[in-house]
Amino acid sequence: MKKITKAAVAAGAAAALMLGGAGSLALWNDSKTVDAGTVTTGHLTLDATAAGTWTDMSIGAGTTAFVPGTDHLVPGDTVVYSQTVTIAADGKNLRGALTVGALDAAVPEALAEDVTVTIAAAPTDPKLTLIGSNEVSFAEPGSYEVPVTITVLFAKGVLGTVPTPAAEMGADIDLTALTLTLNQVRP
Amino acid sequence: MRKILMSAVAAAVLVVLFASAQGTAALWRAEETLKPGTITTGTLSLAVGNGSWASADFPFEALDTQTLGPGRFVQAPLTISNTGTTTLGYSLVGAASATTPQSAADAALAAAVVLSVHVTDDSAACAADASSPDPSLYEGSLAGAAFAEAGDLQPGEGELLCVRVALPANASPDAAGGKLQLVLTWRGDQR
Repeated sequence: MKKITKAAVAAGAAAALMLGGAGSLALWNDSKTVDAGTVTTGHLTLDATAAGTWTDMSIGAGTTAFVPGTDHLVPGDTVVYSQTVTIAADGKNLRGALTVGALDAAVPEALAEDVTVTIAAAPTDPKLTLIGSNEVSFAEPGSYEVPVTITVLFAKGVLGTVPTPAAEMGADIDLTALTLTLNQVRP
Repeated sequence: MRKILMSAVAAAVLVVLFASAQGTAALWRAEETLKPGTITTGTLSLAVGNGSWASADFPFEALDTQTLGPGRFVQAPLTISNTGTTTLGYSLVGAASATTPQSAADAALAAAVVLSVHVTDDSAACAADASSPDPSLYEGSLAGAAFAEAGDLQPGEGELLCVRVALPANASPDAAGGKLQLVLTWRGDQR
């Protein structure tokens, strides 16, 4: 009986050892998360949806109103279109420049000598720098308004001695596509 | 340890740089278009007519000089109209006889007649035998016939004129049998 008891105790101890070996005992470890937050990219957009206005700046004009569909241009007239575009620039080191395009092909051949179309940006914001007449740059992020003007001048010239050819009248000056480009500048 | 970390950071930065150079990443750009529309130049156009139709080259058949004799006159209404889109001022720049070939009698008649042009309200006042008291814009010989900017015509507006050709009672007999084909040249100027 004593022998049997000893054997049973030994078997129990062996079983306990075996069980311990098959268990989840391991080397120590631990884990933590470093929270650096989220970084977000900025944006650079141009908004040209604000309505523009036409003004008749001609000498001797009865009113300053000018309606492109119904009012017609004659020698001596100056009309100005102005529209404000908005630059939205978000980004710590964001710098950029707005370039106003040209309308070189707008004036028909027959009027090329008499009609001039001048395009200019006229920023009033002190944070904007005008380069030449058609480029506006900014050196820090922000929201900027840039007025852009298109001036159409029909030179008066001198009174001719022969009747003006009908081909030189009733001509269209197509100003439908003036492209404005806003570029990021990274020195 | 610190050195390893630094070099790891440097390597990571290099990887980012290379990655951006290979990809399509670029500096930002935005584009917009202004659409002010199309503007049109006006037209300046003067037409002459009889009230029912007008043309830039109007045959003035109502003025019939067949019956002209010394001490008599012929007259007919003429409408000057602005067919353009711009206000104009009209003027008479010349009058001549276009009879070809021009005989001696024709030349004598052209030299003898007195042309007068006046504004009238009613074409009845310019009927063949009506004598009009309206002040003349021009009265005199064909040579040198002209008047400057009688009035402004708005687009679509017209003015009724009465054109009279008179042969004075003391006209030279050389003019007898002469023919007169009157050509009046008008001009419109932008106002």
